[in-house]
Amino acid sequence: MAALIPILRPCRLALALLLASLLGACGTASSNKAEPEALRGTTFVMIGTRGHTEISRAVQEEQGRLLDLLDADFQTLHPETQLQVDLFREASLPAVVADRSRDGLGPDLILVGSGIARSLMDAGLSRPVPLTAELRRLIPAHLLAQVVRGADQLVGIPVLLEPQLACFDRRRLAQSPSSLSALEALDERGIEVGLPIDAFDLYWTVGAYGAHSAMARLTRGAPLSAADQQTLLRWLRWLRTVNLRERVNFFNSQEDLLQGLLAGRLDWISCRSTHFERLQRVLGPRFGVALLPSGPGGPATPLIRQRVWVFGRDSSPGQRRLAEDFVRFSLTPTMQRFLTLHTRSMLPVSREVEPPSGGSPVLRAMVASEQQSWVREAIGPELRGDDPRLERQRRLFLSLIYSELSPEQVLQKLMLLRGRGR
Amino acid sequence: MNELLVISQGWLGYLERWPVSLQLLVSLGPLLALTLVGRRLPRTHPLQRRRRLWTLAAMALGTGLLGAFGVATGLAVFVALVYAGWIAIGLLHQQLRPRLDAQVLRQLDSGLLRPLFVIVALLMLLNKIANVDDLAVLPLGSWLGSNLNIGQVCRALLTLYLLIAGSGPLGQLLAELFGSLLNLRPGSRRALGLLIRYAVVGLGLVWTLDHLGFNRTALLAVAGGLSVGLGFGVKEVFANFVSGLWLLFEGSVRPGEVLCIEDEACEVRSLGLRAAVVWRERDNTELLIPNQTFLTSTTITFTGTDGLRRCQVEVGAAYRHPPREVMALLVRTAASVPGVLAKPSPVALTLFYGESSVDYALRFWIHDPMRGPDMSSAVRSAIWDAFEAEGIEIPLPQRVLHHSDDQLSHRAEANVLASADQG
Repeated sequence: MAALIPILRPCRLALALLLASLLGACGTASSNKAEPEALRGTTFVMIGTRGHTEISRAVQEEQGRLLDLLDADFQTLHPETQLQVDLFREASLPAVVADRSRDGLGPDLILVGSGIARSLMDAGLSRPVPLTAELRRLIPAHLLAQVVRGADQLVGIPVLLEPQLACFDRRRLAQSPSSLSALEALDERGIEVGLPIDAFDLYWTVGAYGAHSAMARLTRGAPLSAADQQTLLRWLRWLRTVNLRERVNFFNSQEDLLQGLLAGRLDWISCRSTHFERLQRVLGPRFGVALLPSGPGGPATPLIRQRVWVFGRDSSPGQRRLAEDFVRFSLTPTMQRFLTLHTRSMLPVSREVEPPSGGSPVLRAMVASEQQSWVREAIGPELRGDDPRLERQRRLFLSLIYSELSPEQVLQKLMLLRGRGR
Repeated sequence: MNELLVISQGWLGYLERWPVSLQLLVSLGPLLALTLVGRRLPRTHPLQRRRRLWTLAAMALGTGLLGAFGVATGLAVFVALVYAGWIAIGLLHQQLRPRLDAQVLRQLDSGLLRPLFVIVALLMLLNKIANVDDLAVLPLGSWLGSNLNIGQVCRALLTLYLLIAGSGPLGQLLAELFGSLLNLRPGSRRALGLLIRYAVVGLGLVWTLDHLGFNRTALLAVAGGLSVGLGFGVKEVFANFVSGLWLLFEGSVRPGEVLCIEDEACEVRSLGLRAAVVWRERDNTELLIPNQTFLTSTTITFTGTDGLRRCQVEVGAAYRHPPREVMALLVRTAASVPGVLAKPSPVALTLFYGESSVDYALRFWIHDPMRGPDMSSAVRSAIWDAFEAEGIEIPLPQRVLHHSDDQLSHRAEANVLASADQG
């Protein structure tokens, strides 16, 4: 035994260091309990992006801007805090969070669309939020409806809204077309039009053909009536016909559309409000924003993208409190108003903040687009970014516009796809 | 860069979580403890010999306990797997040791396998705590008109490393392939391999700079500036590099060639950027000779036109043996020694009529220039045996002294007196 003592002596330092790190972790937790007012530490945040095939610096800045603004003000109140932000494609987010959770390295907060928020909860990767009276008072019911789980729980807390609009180059086009027929007519004037092939971003055209209710039923896997099928066929035929025009083209991702407009290859695209800042920076006064065109079946039905705070499961008590305080801070009327007016690319969710209507035509268009989104039957949560059926749906639309499949065949396959369940 | 520092500092926040700290404790704890214990113990101690296995077992046990209590174990499993991978590389090294040349094995192990393993492990660890794709687009600054980000620089460095570390074996493989197709000599194959390596690294460097988006005009300007710098500052190094390339093209000093340096056959082992490494068999030493030396001074090579070497052995035979018989015997003897070439055939020459013997030279050809001393020794031994068998004497040097009569009588008297004194 005595012979072992000199051997074990050098180990003591190493063991002491490791134990100190472990006790330090416990100490942080206990000290946080003792002094609830002191906020310090790092919050690990993941942001889910949609419509980007790869992460570039521009995408990073665009998506991280909301958190940068929030963090800057939060740090003036709590200088010993830090946000650690990672960006991921929404489709890969559940798998990434699952991997991290196996290591105990899951995020404290996740900023995603409401569909992915639901997927994360279904997979047991996030913490439910109690639906308190305070939240009911603060956030409108139609927004809470997208994230509600059971009677008294939420999968996440809505924080901001990203409406979908038309973005165009004023140098080539004085005014955005107000109808789909006018949009098609741009082809004859030599105007290049870009449309998305993704079902979520293309949904605005469904309503313009009056097929939104039928599409909502199809997406939910509900049976379709003959009338539903006819309206959907009319929309599918339009998709194929419009692609035959020389200057109307479909693109794989929203990022491709943006790059086209920024580089001058496209003159008119459908876009999200989060892209405004990048477009404004490059296009300057040439940058134009308008509502999406209506069609023979009624006004467009853009799907608003609701950004939701989701709480992770691996946080330490201190990190959990920090994350909750940060979310509470982002919902304060001051920050909601500040984010909306400062970025001019997001709309508030708080009832305490009036929709900014005066002044900026961009904000006015965003508010109008938001109202369009809630008029019709909302199917946003059903079109989850991580749903593998979305990719198959995208391929079906591609087959349609390349005339590999007829509208009737595509409809049959869509019905099979959506009827089969996840 | 500041952004990266802030981010990396933020990762320490994971230590606030007790499952993370526990995982580090059960995986790094045994590693650290057993390493420190191992340093204190003699190499022959049973614990020392199986230290790595004990470490791995302790990690597995700790991880299993964490799993049993429902604590996250992914990180601990990862550390254990990385450690097991490291041990596996060591075992692979031991398995390959009898099969591969020591230098090749060293290059493979410490030049390629271990660094690649470390890079992959680090990337995997990084991917656990951050999004590598997201980190890759963080800007590092602007250089020569190009905005660089972390991903570009890391990819460029990794590409260059792989080119430098991997182009050697690749070049040799291609050279062997072309060599067997075109029936090239081993020396030419090695030279071709080296040329391919230089070409791959050079093109890779250009591609990497282009991939980083460097302004080509700025690069040319830098190259111009470097040329002036090379002219004044490191001209010797540059001269040696250019000499090396020239020698490769010329083919006189390629790896595998045999040169005569300080009267001894030496084999060129490698032709580096600055110097050639030449191996001398006598004392198993390697001489580093600046490439420029071969270009500016006379170089004697055994492998210029062909790889044959002519050796010469000299021997004396007594005067009573007719030279024709001795020469015929010498030729037969040389031809009977394994390794002596039949064509060109051995030749015997009568050199001198010496004081005590007739001196002969036996010239014979061998295939491997490096075996000159060995083969000469073998032929000398065979001559001894052949002379013994044929009764041919190799005379010792003899000198006959003649004395005058006076000298002889004086010496006799002196001897008689000396005997009387002793009696």
